[in-house]
Amino acid sequence: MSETVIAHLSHCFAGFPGAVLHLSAGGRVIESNGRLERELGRVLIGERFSDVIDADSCGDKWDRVLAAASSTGATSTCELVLANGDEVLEPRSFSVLWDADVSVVWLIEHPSDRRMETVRQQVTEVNSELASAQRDLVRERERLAQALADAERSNRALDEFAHVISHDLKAPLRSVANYARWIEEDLDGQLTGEPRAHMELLRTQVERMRVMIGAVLEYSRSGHTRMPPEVVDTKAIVEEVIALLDPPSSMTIEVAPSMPTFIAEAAPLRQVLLNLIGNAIKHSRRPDTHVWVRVRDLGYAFEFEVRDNGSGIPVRTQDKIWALFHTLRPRAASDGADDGTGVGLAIVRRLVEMQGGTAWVESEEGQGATFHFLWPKQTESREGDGAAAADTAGDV
Amino acid sequence: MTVVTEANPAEHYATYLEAIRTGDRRRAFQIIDTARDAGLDLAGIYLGIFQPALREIGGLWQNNELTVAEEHLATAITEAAMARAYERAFTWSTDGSRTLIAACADVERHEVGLRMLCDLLDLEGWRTTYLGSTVPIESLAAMVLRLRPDVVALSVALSPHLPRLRAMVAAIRSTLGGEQPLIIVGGRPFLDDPSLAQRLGADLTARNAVDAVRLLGERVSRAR
Repeated sequence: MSETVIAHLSHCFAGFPGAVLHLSAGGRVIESNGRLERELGRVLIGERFSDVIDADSCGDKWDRVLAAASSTGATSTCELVLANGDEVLEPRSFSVLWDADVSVVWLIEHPSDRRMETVRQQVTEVNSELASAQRDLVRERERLAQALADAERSNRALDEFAHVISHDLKAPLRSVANYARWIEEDLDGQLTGEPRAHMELLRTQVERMRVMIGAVLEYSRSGHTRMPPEVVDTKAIVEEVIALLDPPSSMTIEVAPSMPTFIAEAAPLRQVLLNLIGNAIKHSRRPDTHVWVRVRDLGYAFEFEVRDNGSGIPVRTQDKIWALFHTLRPRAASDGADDGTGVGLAIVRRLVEMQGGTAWVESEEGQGATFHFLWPKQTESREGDGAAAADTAGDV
Repeated sequence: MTVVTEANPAEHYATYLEAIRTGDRRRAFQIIDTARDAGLDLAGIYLGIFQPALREIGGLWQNNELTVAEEHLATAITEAAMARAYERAFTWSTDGSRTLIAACADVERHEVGLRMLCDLLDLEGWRTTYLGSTVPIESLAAMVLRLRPDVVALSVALSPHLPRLRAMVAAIRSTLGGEQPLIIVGGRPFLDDPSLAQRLGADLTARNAVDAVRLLGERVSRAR
């Protein structure tokens, strides 16, 4: 070999980005390109290479590889964990070459790609985080299912309670009404002045209570029976509702020209529209009442809107109107009008929420009110969703 | 005499090992699904399939038959397979009265055994928090102070990381003062020398996740 070639080779030996070591057949370091010395901060020439190997994880492995190299002469690749005193380093890969002529072993480190190492670490991290996230999801899903079951149970119990109470309250109330009437009959003509006024108040209150009990019953029954979805023409439903409410001719009810036809449970939708349009008519208190009904397609749901030009709802009571027995004008039965029982909006919210939708109101005092509700569309069969999710979640 | 026929993890172990050795994720998942369908419970799968398979993968590396990259892949597949098995086994039973925080002392290495412990405790109704290996010691101590768990579980795979584990134990002990959690430690070094646990300031150690679940069940009462 010419001197030039030797010079080139030794340059290559020194400049190689990984460790290159020349070992005796017994595993002692004869020569080194200095990489490993610099990294470990110790002299290796003359030392046994096994001194810098982590004995726990790969002492035996090194012995076997060395023995195999000198006996079979084959080139092999081997990953080793090096140790520098107490410090254990990351595993690295070496080629082991046997030079039969001079009975030496060449040990050549495969220079590692930092970026690949980083990527591998990141992947390990992400994988572990995914595994944790998957567990969190499982737990959260189970917790929700549990909460839902609890809520459904307590809803059912509440409904039963309301039903029983209402029924049981009716009988004594009927008795009170009867006794009052009998007292009046017995005292025919003798009841005057304050006692007479009190008697009248008693009758009014009994009537009020009767109406409220009826309302509780109505509320607890609402949405009790689920009907199979059918094709619903919302224009026809709204027209039907208007005919039923029979508004005075001075009122205008304007239904948007394009009203959708879709698949839904007809009965609750009809009830919701009846209550909202009925409210708009009832509470407007002006002869030129105008009511607008329209529907927007939001893709996943239909947004219904019932707007009126009535007196509006003060912002501070807008949350309260959905509660049972909340009426804007409490105990105002004296004008003789049917002032409602305060159950209409409670039923609206309940029916809409049973469909997975929501109901809300926008209003300013004196500016009319707009009631909105979302009616989710019937989704396609959910079969197969679960399997697909499980498959993705399990991916590495 | 009653004859009890039990689902045997050994039937699935060999095929699972082959699947993760060759990096075949889908096959691995399928084998675990089959094992579950055959009636094997989570503890059986963890101790009968995952744990010996990962030990064997480690052995194959020592025999120069596998690279570190292949070993990592096998571990990653097993982590995902565990999450999948956990998902199928999970039933909500937590009363939240017994709590555990788990962390590894090794840097950038995820101790599968610790994850197994958390999963099995979850199924027993414990509330567990698995922090993995990247959590700094101060954060661990702060978390223990905030959550006041009944148990802190620490693991270490490599002996050189024992000082870090000792520091973790010391940080928890000094942060909490009066009301100390039970500290359980595990991992390879404790298999060779169980008395190491006490010397490092921990309360107890266990040979495997199932043993740890049993021990903790005895030591930590449901009511607090």
